[in-house]
Amino acid sequence: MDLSFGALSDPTAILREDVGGEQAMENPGSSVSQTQRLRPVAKAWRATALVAMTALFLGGTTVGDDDWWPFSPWRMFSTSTSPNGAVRSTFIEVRTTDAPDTWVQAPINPDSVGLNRAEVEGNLDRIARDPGMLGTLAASHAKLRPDAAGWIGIRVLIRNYLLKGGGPTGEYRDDLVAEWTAP
Amino acid sequence: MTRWLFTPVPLGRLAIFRTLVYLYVVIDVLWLQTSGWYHGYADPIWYEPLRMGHLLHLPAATVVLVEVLKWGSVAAALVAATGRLPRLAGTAVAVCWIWYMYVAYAYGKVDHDRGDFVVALLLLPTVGSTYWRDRRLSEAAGFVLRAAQLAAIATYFLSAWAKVRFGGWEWVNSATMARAVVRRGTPWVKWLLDVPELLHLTQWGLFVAEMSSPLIFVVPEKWRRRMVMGWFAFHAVTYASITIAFWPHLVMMLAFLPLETYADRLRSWWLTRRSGRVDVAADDVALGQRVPEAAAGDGGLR
Repeated sequence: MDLSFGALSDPTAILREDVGGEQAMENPGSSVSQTQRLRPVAKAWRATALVAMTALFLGGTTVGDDDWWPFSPWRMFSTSTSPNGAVRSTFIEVRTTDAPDTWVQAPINPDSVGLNRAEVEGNLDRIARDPGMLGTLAASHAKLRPDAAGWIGIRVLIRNYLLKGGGPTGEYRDDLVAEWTAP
Repeated sequence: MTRWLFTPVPLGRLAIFRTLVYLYVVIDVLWLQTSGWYHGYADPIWYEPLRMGHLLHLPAATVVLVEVLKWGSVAAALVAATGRLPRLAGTAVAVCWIWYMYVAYAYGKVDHDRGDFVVALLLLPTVGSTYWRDRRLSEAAGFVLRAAQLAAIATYFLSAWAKVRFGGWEWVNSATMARAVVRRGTPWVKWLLDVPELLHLTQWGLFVAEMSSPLIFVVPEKWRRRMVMGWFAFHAVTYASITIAFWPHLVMMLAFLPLETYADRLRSWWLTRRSGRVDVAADDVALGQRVPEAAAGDGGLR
C-alpha cells in the first residue's frame, strides 16, 4: 500500500528509491557487494562458448550455406536482380475431380499441401527430374483438406515478370517446369 | 574485453527479458512459424536433412513428432516464462524449439531471421532463479544480454556480408527491392514500382546501415537507444511494405534496453491510475505522511 502513497505525492520518487534498493540507502557503498560475480572458470567456459558460436556464424556466412542452420548465412534478399531482367515467381495449377479438364491455380501453402512456395521453389530441379514428387502434394492435400475436391493433375509453372530500368514492364512469360497426372 | 563481456546488469532486466523471450516462443510456435507442424503431413520425399540433422541423425517429420515438439515447446516455455526452473525448463525449450525449427527448415526453405534467437535460448539457462524486481547486479545476466546484443547486431552486419557474397557488390545497384515488391508488395507500396530510383536509394541506405550496425557498441547510451528505435522503425516499415517481419530478432533487440526501468514506469503509472480512483482519501494520507518526514531532519524517523 505504501507504494501508492509514494506514487501519489511524487511519481518519480518511487522510481529512484527502487533503483537504489533499500540496502544501498542504508549503507552507501554496499551496492558493490551486491554484485554477483562469476568465478574465472565460469567466465572461461561462457567466453569459449561465445567464441565457438561466433566461429560457426562467421563460417556459415563466409563458406556455409542454408544447410548450416542455425549458423547459415543471413542471406535474406541477398541475391542481385538485374534491373532489366525478370522476377521469377513459382505457382502451381491443378485439375480436380470436379473439373477434370480445366487447369486452375492452387495455393502453395502449408495448410493446403504441407509445404510453402519457397520450399517448392527450392526443389524445382528435383521436381523437373522426377515429376512424380508432385503426386505427394495431392496426397498431402487430401489429408489436410479432406472435404475439398481431389487433385488428379498438377503442374508447376514459373511466371517471369519482365523488368526494365528496375520497374516491371507489365509483361510476363510462363514457363512449364513439370507436370504430373494421377495414374 | 572480458569486463565488457561480463558487464553486470540488474537481474530484474534479465528476468523480464527471459519472460518476453519465452512468451514469444509460445506465440511463435502457435501462430507465427507453423510450417514445421505441416511438415508432419508432407511426404518424407521432401525431407532434405541439414548438417545438424546428419550430425544428430534426426529423422523426417511425423505427425507425432511435430505434436510433441510443438506442445513441448509451449509447456516448457510457459513454465520458464514464470521464472521457475530456469535451467531445466529453459533447456527443454531450447531443445524442443530448435528441433521444431529444424523440422520447419529441412524441407527446402530456411528462414534467415532466427540465428540470434537460438543464441538466446541456449544461453538463458545459464542464469539461475531471479525475479522481475531483483535489483542485484549480476555478471552472468550481463553476459547473456551482451551475447544476445552481439547476435542481434551480427544479424545485420553478416547479412550485409551475405549480400556481397551472394549478390556481389552490384547488389546495391540491382533490382532486389523491386523484386521484393513485385513478389510480396502490399497494395499501398505498389506505387514504389513507378519510382525505381527510390527503391534503389533505399537499397543503398539499408546496406550502409547494416554495414555500420556494429557502431552501436561504441556510441553513447542515448544514441544506442535511438539506433535501436531506428531499427524497430525500419522493421515496421518493412512489415507494412512486404509483410515480412523478423519477429524473434525483434525480441533480441530488446536486450539493448533498460527493461526493468520501463517495467517500473509501467508499474508506477498503473499504481497512480489505480489510486487515482480514491484520490480524496489518499490525498489526506499523503499529506499526513509528509509532516513527520519534514520533521525528521534529525534522522529520528527510523
